[in-house]
Amino acid sequence: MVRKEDKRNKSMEGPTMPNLPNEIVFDILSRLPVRSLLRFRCVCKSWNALISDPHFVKTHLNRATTSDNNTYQQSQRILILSETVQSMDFETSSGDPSVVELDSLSKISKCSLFIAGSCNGLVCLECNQDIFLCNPATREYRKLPTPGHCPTILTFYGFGYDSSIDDYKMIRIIPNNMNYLGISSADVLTLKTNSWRRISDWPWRGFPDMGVFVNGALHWLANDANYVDYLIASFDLAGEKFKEVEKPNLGDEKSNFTIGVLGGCLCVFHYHHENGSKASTIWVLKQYGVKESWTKTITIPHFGVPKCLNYFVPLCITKNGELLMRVNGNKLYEAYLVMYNPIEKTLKIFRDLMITDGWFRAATYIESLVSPNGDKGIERTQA
Amino acid sequence: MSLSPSTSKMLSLKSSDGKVLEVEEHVAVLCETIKSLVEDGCADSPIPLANVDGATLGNVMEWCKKHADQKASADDLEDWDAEFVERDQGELYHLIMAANYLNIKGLLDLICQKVADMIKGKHPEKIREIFNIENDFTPEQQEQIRKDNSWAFE
Repeated sequence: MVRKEDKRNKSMEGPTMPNLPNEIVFDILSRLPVRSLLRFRCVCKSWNALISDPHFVKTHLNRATTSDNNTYQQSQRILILSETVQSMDFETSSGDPSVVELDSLSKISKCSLFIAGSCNGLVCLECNQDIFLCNPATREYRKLPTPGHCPTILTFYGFGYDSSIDDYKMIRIIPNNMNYLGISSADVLTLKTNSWRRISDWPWRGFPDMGVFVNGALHWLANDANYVDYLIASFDLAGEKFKEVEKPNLGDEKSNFTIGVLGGCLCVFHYHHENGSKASTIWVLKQYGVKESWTKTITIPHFGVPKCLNYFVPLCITKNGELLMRVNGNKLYEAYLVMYNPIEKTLKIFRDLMITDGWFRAATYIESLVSPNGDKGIERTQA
Repeated sequence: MSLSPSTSKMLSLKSSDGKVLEVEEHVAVLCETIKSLVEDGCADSPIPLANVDGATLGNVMEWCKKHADQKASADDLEDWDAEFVERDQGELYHLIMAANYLNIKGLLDLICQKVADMIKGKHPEKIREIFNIENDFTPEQQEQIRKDNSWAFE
């Protein structure tokens, strides 16, 4: 770091924190939100280099994903794809979510985008099998190679981080023919090599929804081969193997549930009847890989909930313990974001999603500096 | 070696400006630097701390005393810490340097977080002033960075 002579020390306006050791500067900056860090790129060359440094980016990310009372806990935000791309802060103290238009991402593609995955601040967007990887916090994006054309809408995706090779992986699953009953193939792209390769077949019947990333693996809700019951399919990103994750004992014959992630744990959202009325119950897999650790947590009675709302899908737990969920309306293409307070048992609608074609297009993400361009992303603004 | 409060003896610490502070051993050993001296049997008094002035040493030991108190609850400590860091930048700077030198992770985390909160929304020019940093970009380079991250300056 270049420093001025300490001439101004005596004046009241002078530096109050001169000559901090580099590791202290590193520590302080790793606690700042992305927006401040992007501003501070132009403080000096060494700060600009530090903010792009892979080790710094990782430290900053770890602070955001592991929260305790003493460290800065990065807010989660939600990315909403409607006519434009928007980012919403739902944790504002006033309770009114503030929305930011992400103009540069709105221009990525002319057709309407879907969300194909979200991990460590990177969000995958897909449209007609064009795949874009973006970081909504830094607004960087990049187009990924297309894994060969496939004329079907029955394709589904997942995106996650493989710590064994310190790289991100995207997986695409496509039916081998237009007959939905047939075998599906799986292709994997690693970000650093930027190329697709075919792996083993997908052994189940798929549901075209975005993969849920937990514990180094992607998860989807799938049908067994005979369409008798739903199961939780997983794909271990390091081993590149498909496996089944045992679901909790839900007690009914053909369980009606979806999956998701809350507080870093795999969750099952079970729709059922309780005392004669509809309810949703959340099960949390407290210890990954241990079936006995499935724990029943909150039950949301649909009693008292506006009749028009169905199928709650929790997206995340906010800092003050509320549950952000998406929910479908009774009418086709009707969907909302709602906040449920489990202590007061109150439900508040705060966003009409105005979906026009039946697809829900929103995902939570954390604000990070991780570049869609990998470690090469630093060269963009480096002098 | 047992460092429990019941058997704690007094250590004397000597600051850079020659002030001597008597501190209970179980409080002082929150500083890893002092702990190693005690464990190596090199803690014969007074321990000279050449990089910490008397006023700062007093503040550091006040923090250590509170955090060595087994009876303090997590909530209590959090509230106490929040009040402890309500200081001007000069004092915070001395506390950072002392916590770094004495190797007190908890205190260093606390002050670094406070400084981060303090500089969060600031303009780069103000940051250079606080940390005494020279702007070594050319105007063109500076403009390019601003352009690439323009929304962050809105």
